Amino acid sequence: MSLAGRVAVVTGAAGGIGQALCRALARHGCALGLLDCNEAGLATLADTLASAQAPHAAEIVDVRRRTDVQRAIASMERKLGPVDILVACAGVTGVTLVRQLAVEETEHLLEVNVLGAAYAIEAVLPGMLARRQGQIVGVSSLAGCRGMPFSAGYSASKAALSVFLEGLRPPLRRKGIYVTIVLPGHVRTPLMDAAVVKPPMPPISPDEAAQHILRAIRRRSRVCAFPRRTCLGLAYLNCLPTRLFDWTMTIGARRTSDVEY
Amino acid sequence: MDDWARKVVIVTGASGGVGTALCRLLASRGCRLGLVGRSRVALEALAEELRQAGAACLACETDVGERAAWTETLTQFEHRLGPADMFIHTAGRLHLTDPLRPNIDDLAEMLRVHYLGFVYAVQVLLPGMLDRGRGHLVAVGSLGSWRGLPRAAAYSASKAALSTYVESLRPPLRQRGILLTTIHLGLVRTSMTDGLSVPRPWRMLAPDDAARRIIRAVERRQREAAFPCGQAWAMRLVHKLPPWAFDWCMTQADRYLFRTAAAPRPTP
Repeated sequence: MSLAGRVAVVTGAAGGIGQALCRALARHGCALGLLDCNEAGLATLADTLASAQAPHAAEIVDVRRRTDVQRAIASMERKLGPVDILVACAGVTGVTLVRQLAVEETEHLLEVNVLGAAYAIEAVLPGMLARRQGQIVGVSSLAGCRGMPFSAGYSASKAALSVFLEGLRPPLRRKGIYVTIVLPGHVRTPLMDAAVVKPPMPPISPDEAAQHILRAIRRRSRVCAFPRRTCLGLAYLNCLPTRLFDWTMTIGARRTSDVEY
Repeated sequence: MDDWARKVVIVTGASGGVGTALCRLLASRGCRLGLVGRSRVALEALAEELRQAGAACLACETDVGERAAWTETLTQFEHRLGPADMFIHTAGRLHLTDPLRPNIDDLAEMLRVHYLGFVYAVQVLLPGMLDRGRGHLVAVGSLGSWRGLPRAAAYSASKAALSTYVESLRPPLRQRGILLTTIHLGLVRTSMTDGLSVPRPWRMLAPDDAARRIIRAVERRQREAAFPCGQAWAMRLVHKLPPWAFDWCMTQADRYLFRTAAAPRPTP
């Protein structure tokens, strides 16, 4: 599918994967709607896009606020035209320790990672259904496939997002709307600075991640999981019986982190 | 847990379905029960029935998705019954999803009740359990959480969050003597599944059977249990399907199951 002249709205556009993806989409001739709560990052990105003469509109929005998301996307549609591609990329991470469950943070993870994405989908879906075309790209995480050590809240929120998108995928596909679930492994982004685990495999760059996602958008893939090594690792974990899984996680957590597991 | 007598067990979702059946079973084994539910009438009736049978129990009508009230209830229970040995989270509700108009309020509500309700309880109960070096947390999830089922996308998502959360905490807590069990439950004949039908050869499980099997999994200190058997194996198969095959199967299943059915029930 050609991307030239398409309108793409990206949440979480100012940082990490979102930013790299926006640049890549702009290079391919997309008009971009940028949403983020990081004002400075958004301004920098908007400047870059302006100097590249890529059509764009930026809105400072907290994706947890439902009405704000709806208003922002409506105003972008007025400026750029109907949304062809939604990339729900806004995400946060957090550490859950046994001695410190960080419940407020767990709630926050849920609001941003799951409900934030759902609000954005809710805002663009009626228009896409009316036009019988569109693409919804949800950036979840490989960490959502199993419960990962130190990240109960994060894994749970990403699992909910992946499963929710998967449920929407078959019926929407019949209406001409393609849902793509993106499952990145470790990517070198601000999100990773918070992690207490040293990634067992070297992280890839946001630009590499953006290339994977871009390819998935063009191919209208159902699932886009990368990097390959991490996928293989996870496939292996998925074959393990629960007892062995627990053992592997315990050993893995001890080897990759100094924090008490 | 070998000896049930005088154990303090807190059960959510006690006012209906599987929760009620579980409470009766636990009471007959001599547990001291903390009952939590949404329906005051059903809860009082159950508490009265259990007390007459000689069990010590307290009942409290609480929404487990409301952190302040739920924390308060748990603190009260621990104060009056003694430190909790076991927590069983069966509280659940089902709002079907219309994939073309997904209701995000339903998603948020189910996430609160299924997932955050458990998180809040763990937050309150875990410090004590860690100090004592023992305890058992049981989360009743769903077979539907293994894949995103189109008519139940939001429900699947909320239960997936719950089971993933449990899985993540399970290894470190087990080392400290605290057991976690996830029950992946199929369709059980309760007020929640009212109006749903299962195609043959499957049957809906009776709440009493479900409760018995939950207790058995808990006694065996299982990490996970999935039943009824037939539905569990079907879901294991579905779980292994590649995305395109999953989509095709779901489309076919949808045509077959919802040929005549009306749109999902309106949400209250």
